[in-house]
Amino acid sequence: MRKVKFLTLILLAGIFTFSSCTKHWEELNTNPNNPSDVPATNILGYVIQGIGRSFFNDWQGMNNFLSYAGQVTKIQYTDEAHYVYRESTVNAAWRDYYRYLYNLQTIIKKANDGDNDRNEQHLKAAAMVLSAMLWQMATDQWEVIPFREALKGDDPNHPNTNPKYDTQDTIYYAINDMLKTASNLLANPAGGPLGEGDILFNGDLSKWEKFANSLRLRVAIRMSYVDENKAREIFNEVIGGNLPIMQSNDDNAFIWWPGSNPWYEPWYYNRHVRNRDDHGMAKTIIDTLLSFNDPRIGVYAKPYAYDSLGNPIYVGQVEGAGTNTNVSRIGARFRDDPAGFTPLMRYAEVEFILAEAAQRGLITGDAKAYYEAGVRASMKENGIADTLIDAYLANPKVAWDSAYAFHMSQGPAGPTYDDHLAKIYIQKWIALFKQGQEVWAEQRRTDFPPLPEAPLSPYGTHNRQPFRYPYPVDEKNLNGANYHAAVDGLGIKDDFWGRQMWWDVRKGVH
Amino acid sequence: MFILAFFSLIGMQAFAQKTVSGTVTSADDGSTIPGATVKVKGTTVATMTDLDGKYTLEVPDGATTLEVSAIGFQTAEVEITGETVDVALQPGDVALDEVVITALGISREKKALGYAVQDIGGDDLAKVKTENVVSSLTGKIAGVQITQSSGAVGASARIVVRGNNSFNYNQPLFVVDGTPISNFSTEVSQWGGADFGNALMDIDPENIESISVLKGANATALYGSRGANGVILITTKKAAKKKGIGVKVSSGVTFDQVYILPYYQNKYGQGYLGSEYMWKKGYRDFWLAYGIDVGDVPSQISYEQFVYNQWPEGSWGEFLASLGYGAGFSYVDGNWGGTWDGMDESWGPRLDQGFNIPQFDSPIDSMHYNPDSTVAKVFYHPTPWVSHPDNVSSFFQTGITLDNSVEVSGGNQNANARFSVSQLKVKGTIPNTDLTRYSVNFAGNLKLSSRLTATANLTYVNNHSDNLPGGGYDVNNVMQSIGSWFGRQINMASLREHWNEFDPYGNPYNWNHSYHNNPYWTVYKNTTNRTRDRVFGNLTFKYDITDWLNIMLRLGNDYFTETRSHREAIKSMDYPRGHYWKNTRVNNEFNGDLFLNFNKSFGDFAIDGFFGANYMRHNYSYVGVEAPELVADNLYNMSNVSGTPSATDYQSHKETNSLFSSLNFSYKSWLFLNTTFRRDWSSTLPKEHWAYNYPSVGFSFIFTDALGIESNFLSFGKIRASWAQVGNDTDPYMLTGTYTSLTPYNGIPLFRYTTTLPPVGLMPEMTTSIEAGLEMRFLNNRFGFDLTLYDMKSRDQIMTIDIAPSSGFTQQTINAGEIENKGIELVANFNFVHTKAFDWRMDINWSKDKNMVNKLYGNLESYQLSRTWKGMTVEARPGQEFGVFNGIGYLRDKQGRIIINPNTGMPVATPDPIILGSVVPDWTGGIRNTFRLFNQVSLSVLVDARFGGKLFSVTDWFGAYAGILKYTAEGDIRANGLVVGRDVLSDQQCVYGDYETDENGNIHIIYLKPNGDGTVDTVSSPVANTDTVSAQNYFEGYWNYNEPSMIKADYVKLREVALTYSLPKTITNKLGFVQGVDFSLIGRNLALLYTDKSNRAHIDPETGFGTTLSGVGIEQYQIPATRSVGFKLTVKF
Repeated sequence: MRKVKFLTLILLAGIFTFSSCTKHWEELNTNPNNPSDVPATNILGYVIQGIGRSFFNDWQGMNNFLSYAGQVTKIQYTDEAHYVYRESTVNAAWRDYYRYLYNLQTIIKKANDGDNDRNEQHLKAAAMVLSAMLWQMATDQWEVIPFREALKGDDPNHPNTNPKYDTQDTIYYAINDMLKTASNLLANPAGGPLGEGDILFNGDLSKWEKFANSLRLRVAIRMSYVDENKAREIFNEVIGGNLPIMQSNDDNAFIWWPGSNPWYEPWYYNRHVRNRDDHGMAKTIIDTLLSFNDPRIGVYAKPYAYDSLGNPIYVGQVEGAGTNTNVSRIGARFRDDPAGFTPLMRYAEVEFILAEAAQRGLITGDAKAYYEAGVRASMKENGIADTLIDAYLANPKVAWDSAYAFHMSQGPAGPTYDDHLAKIYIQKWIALFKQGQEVWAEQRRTDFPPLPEAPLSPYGTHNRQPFRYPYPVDEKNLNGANYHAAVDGLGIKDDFWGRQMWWDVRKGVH
Repeated sequence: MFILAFFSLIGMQAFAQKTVSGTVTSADDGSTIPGATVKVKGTTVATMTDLDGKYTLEVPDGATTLEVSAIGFQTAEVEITGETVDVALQPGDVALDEVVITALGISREKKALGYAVQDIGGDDLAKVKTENVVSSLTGKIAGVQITQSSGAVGASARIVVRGNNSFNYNQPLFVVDGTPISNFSTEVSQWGGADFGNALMDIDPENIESISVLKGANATALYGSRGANGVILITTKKAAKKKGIGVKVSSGVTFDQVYILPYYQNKYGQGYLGSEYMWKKGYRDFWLAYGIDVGDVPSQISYEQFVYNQWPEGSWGEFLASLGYGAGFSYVDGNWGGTWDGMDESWGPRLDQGFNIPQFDSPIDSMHYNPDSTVAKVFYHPTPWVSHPDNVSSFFQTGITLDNSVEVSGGNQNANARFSVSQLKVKGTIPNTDLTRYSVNFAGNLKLSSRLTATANLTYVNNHSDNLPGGGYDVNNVMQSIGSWFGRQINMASLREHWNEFDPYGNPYNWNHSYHNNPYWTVYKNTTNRTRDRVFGNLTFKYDITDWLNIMLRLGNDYFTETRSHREAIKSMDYPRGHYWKNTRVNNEFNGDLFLNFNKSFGDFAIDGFFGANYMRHNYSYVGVEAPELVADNLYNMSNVSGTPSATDYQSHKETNSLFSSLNFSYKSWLFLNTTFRRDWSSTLPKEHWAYNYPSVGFSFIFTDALGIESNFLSFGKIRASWAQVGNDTDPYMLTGTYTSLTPYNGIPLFRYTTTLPPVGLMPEMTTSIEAGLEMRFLNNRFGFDLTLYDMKSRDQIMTIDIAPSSGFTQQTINAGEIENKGIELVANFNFVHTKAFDWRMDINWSKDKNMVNKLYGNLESYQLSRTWKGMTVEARPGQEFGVFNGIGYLRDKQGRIIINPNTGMPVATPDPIILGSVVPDWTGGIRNTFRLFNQVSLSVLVDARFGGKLFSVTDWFGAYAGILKYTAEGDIRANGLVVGRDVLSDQQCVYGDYETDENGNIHIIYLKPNGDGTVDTVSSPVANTDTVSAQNYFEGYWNYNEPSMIKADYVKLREVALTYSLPKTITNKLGFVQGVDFSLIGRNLALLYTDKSNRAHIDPETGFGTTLSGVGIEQYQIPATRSVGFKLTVKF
C-alpha cells in the first residue's frame, strides 16, 4: 500500500506540474510593462521636447550647423567644425527626424481612425505643422531623402522598410500642402483640445495657426529663387488671404524648458551639467556685431576679457580652426539659463521674410517697415532698450535708406542683390541666432554673409562652407539600393560639397 | 525546513535492498581512488566512486560481476559476493569505461556515446581556484574558448563552446545537478560602467565534484531550445555512504598583482609642442596647419628657453605663449589657465634636462596668491620636471584573496548528507575594490524505502561588493586617465596623499581639471555596489517500480535578488552635480521534470533510456530609480534628488513545456545506437509556431572489441557519429509593439512608439549539427587521443537587425541568417612515465573552429556586432567569418605599398572602411603536464594558447595619440622627427601618391613625386617617402585610421601551476584523527609567455566585455590582468 501511495503522490505531483497548459500563454506573453495605446497628446509632448533636444543641442546645432553658419563654433575638440564628423551624430540626426515623424504620423492616424470617438483634429493639425517643419529641416540638410514611401515600416497594406527617395521640390510642395491643411483645421474651432502634451504653446490654437502660416512663408521664401511662381502663390494665399501669422514676440515658437534635470535647456545642460566648455562665439558673428556696434553683442556673447578701462573685449573663434579657448563664450541668455528656450521660429523671421518678399515684389508692401519691424522684434526679444534700437536703426550699416554698400562677392542668379536685400539678409542672419538649421539654410540660399571653408578642412579647396550634410552610413548600409539609385548621380563631392540644394541657386561657389 | 526533516529521517529503519557498496583502493599503497568507474558487467548500470573512493551501486537481479576501472589502473573484474565489495586495483592501464554525466544529468558510459563529451574533475578546479568558476575552465576543454574580461574584481568571463553560432546570446546553458541555473549577466559596455560579472560566479569550485561539457547539438538535443550553445553540467559533491562523520577544512590565500601593463615612455612629460623637433622645426609647421605663420623659432632661443616660453619680444611665440599656447608646460589651474596645463597628452618638454616647472603638486607661492580674488591666478613654485616611471604601476596594490571552507559529511547506508560553508574574500588590485562571497551548501540522500529515494541539493550564496571598478571608455575607469591620457611626470604619491583635498579654486585636488578625476577620487568616491542573495537547488524523488524501471520527479528552483547602486560625488568630472542610481532585480526559474527510466537487457542486446516531461517558468523583475542630480553632498538616497528622478519598472514571464525521450540500444557492449527526441512549447513565440521538435541520433562502434583486436599496441578503438537538431526561442514580448515612456516633463507623461518593428510569424531558430569522432588508445592505454569533427549550421536565427530609419523604425526582429561552424577538436593524453616513484602525464587539448556567416537577410550586407572609434564596426558579413573588423586602413596600392601624402608625409587613409581582419581565432589549446613523486608531491603546469584573430586596442590607439606609450619616444624620433617607412612602419614600403574615385566608385592610385617647392608631378613608377614629420603629428594622426592599432590577439600564457605536497599515510595514520593533509603552492596567470609584435603597447590580448557579443574584438582601457600566487592547506579529519 505504501508503495502505491508514493507512486500516486509522485504521479499527482507530476500531473499537477505538467497540467499547466498553453491556454493562458497569449496573456502571459502580453507586455506588462508598456502600454499598447496612449493618448495622442502625450506623443505630441514627446516629439516637441525631442525636436529641441535632438536638433538644437551641442551635437547637431552647436557642433555643425551654427559653425557652418558662422555663429557658434568649437574651441576644443574642433573636429566637427572642420567637417571631421562623427558617424554617430550624422546617423542620430537622420534617425531622429524619422523617429519623430513616425510618432507624429501615429497622432495623425489616430485622429483619422474611424473608430476613434474622440475629436483629435487639432492634435492632428499640430502634428502636421511639426511634421512639415521637420520635413523641411531634413530636406534642407540632405536635399534628396525618402518622403512619400517613408514611415511605412508597419503599414498594414504595403509595409516597406526600404523607401525610395524623393526630390526636394516634391517635398517642398507637399510641406506647403501639409501646412495649408493644418492651418485650415486649426482655423476651425471644433477640433478638440491639444491636451497637456502641447508644451510648445500650452494649447493656444491661435498660436499654432500663426505658426503654421508663418512656416508657409518660410517655405515660400526658401524656394523663391528657384520657383518664384510657387512662392508667389503661397504668399498670395497667406498674405493675400489675410491668414494669421506671427505678429509679436508673444507668438514666437519657443520651447521653454522646465529647468530641472533632466529637462534643462540643451545648451545649458551641455555647459553646466555635462561641464563642457567646447564652444565659443564664431569670429564672423562677433566681427559683424562689433562692426555694426550692435547692442545684441552683450546678449549673444560674453566678453573674453576687459580692457584697462573696464570695457569688454569680444573675440570670436575662426570657424573650424584649431583649439583656442581664448575667445568669447556664448551669452548667458542662450547658454546659462537652465529654464531657457529653444527657438523653432521667431516673429522677427516673419518680418524679414516679408521684407524680402516686398523688396523683390513677391508681395506688395513696405519693405522698409517690415525690415525695421524685424530688427526691432529681434532687439526686443533680446531685451534691448528702445533708445538703443532707434540708434541702431540709424546706424548707416543698418539704416534702410543709408547708402552703405555691402560688397557681395557672389550672389544668387535671378534678381541681383541690392544693398537693401543685403541688409535684410544680414539682419535676419543675426536675428536667427541659435536656430542652427534655419540660419545655415538661409546662409546657403542668400550666400550672406559669405563664409569660407574651415581652415583645417581635410577636404581640399573649397570657397564656401558645406552645401549639405553627409548622408548617414546607416542609410547607405540599410537602404543601399534606393540610396544609390537616388544619390549616386547627384554629383555630391566629399560628403559636404558638389551638389547644392534645389533652392540654392548660387553660382561660382564650390 | 527540508534539511531538518532530512536529518530527522536519517535514523529511520532501513528497508531490505539490493545495493552493493564498497571502496576502491590502489593495490600499490592502499590509497583510495576517487572517480573510479564501477559497472555491472554486461550492462550499462554504473557509477563512480566519490572523493574517498567509495561507491554505492544498485545492481540488477542476477548480476554477478562488477567491472572496476580507473584512470591509471588496470581494469578489474570482481564477483559480487555480498553487500560490500571492496576492490584493489593494480596500477597500469588507463581506464576505458569512464562514466560521464550526459544531458539531463544521466550518467552514461562514455564509450556508448555518439558524440564528444569532455569532463573535468572538481579537484582540477578547486586546486587553483578562481573567483569565477567559468575562468577556471580556461585551457582545459577542447573547443571551449574562455575570455576573462579583465583583472577587475568580480569581472565576467565569457565562455563560447564551438564558436559563436548565434547573433544573439552565445553562452551555454549551465546545469547544476540536473537543474538549470542562471548565468545572468547584464551587458558590459565598452563605453563605461562596472562589470558586474556573470552569475555563475556564485558557485564555489570547492563544491564541485565534476564538470561535464556537452559541446555540440548532438550532446545537448535533450535540452531542446536551451542547449543550442552547448551545456555545462556541474555535479556537486555528495557525502560518502559511510559510517561516521568526515570533516574537511581547507584554507587558502593568494596574492594578486597586476602583471600586464602597457609599456610607457619616460622621456617627455605632459604638454604639447614641447619636444626638440618642435623647437627646431615642427613648431612652425604645427601653427601653419592652423593658418598662422609664426616663422621659424628664433635661432637665439635655446631648447631651455623654448620650454620656459622665453620668446623675444614681439614674436608670435610670445603672443601665443601669452594665450597659453607656448611650447612648454606651466601649471596654473589645470584647466587651460597655464601653458598646456589643461592638456592630457604627453608631448611636453623633455624630462631629463633638469628643468624646473610649476606643476600641480608644486608648492603654492603665497606671494602671488590672493584667495579673496576671483580673478587672481595661483602661482605654483617650479619643481623638478622629471619622470615618475612607476606612476601607473604604483596606483595598483597587491590584492588578497582569502578562501576558507569547512565541510562536514556523514551518514549511513540509508542516508547521508554533506554540509559545507565557505567564505571568499577578495581585495582587488585597484584600491577600494572588493568582493565577498559566502556560500552554504547542503547535499543529502535518503532512502525512504527499499524503492523510494529522495535526494536534495540546496545552496545559499551571498555575493557582495562594496565597490566594483568602472571599465570601458569612461571617466570612472581609472585606466582611461592613467592608462593613456596622463603625464609621465605626474607623481602618483601626490594624488594619493591629497585626493580628499581641494585646490585653491575649490576643485578636487588633481593633476588636471579638464577631463579627469583624481584616480583615488574615482575609486573612493564614485563607487558601484552590488549584493546578490541566491538560493538554488533541487529535490528529487526516485521510485523503483521494478529492477529495470523507475520513475523520477525532480523539482528545481533558482532564485536570486540582486541590488546594485552607483554613486557619483558632487564635483566629479562627468557629473559635477552628483548622480545616484539604484536598482533591484529578482530572478526566479522553476523547473519540474518527470522521468520514466528503464534499463533492460535481452541476451546480447540491451536497451535503456527514458521518457520525460519538463515544465519551466521564468519570472524576472527589475525596479530602478535614478537621481540625475543631488542636492546635499555625500548623501546617496532618492530623498536627496534634484530635478525629476526617473524610475523603471519591468517584469517578464515565460513558460515552456516539453516532452522528451531518450532510447539507447546496445549490442554486445561494442555497438551502440542513441536516439533522443524533444518537443518544446514556448510562450514567447506566436501561437502557430510555439511548438517545435528536436531529434538526434548517434552511434558508437568499439571496433577493437567488435573485431577482437587485442594487442599491446592498440588497446582501444572507437568510431562514432551523430546528427542532431536543436532550436531556440526568444525573449518574452517580442511579438507586439508598445509605447515607451520617458521621464515626465513638468509632470506631463511622454510616450513614444517602439523603434523595433514587431515581427510577423516569428519561428524558432534551428541548429543542425553533424559530428563524427575517432578515439584510440595505445600501449596499454598509456597514450590515447580523441578526435572530433563537426559541422553545425544555425539558421532562421531570431535576429534584431537594423533597418533603414526612414521606415519609421530602426530595428526589426526577424528570422534570418545562417552561421556555420566547422571544427576539429583533439584531446590527447600521454602517460610518459608511470612508475610507483614517478609519474608524468601530459594532457593536450586543441581545437579549431571555422566560423562562417553563410547568409544574412535579403540584401543585408552586414550585421553589426559592435562598434568603436572612427566608425569602425565588428560585423557579420555573408561569406566572411563571424566578426570581421570594418574600419579605416592605410590606403595601399595593388602591391600593398602604403600611399603617403606628399604634402604631409603621412599615410593616406582609405576613403571608406575596409576589412581589417577577424576576431575569430585560428585555434586555441592547452597543455597540462602533471608530475607525481611517490604519490606525495605533485606538480601540475598548465599552459594555454590562442592564435589568430585580431583586436582593436584603444589603449594602443589613444596611448599613441597621447604620446604616452614607449614607442612614441623610441630612439630620437621626438628630437629629430621620423620618416614613415623608415622609423615607423619600417616593414612597409611607403610611396608618395593620391587617389581618384571613378564614376563607379572605384579607387585608382596615382603616384606622385614632390618637387620640393610644394608642387608635385604625377609619375608612373612610385617614389619612396623621405619626408620627415614630427612624432607628435604622426602619432596624433592615428586618429585618422583604425589600422595602426589592430593587434594580433595571439597569446601563450602560463595559466596555472600547482605544487602539492600530501603528508604520507604513515604520518597521518600516527596522527590518528587526521586522515589527510595537503599543502599546495599555487599560481595562476603567471606569465604572458608570448604576444605578437603588433602588440607594441603591451596590453593583455585576452580581453573582453562581459558575456555578450557587445564589444567583441575591442580593447578599451582594460583593467590590467592580475597574477595570483598563493598557498592552500587542506586537512581531512
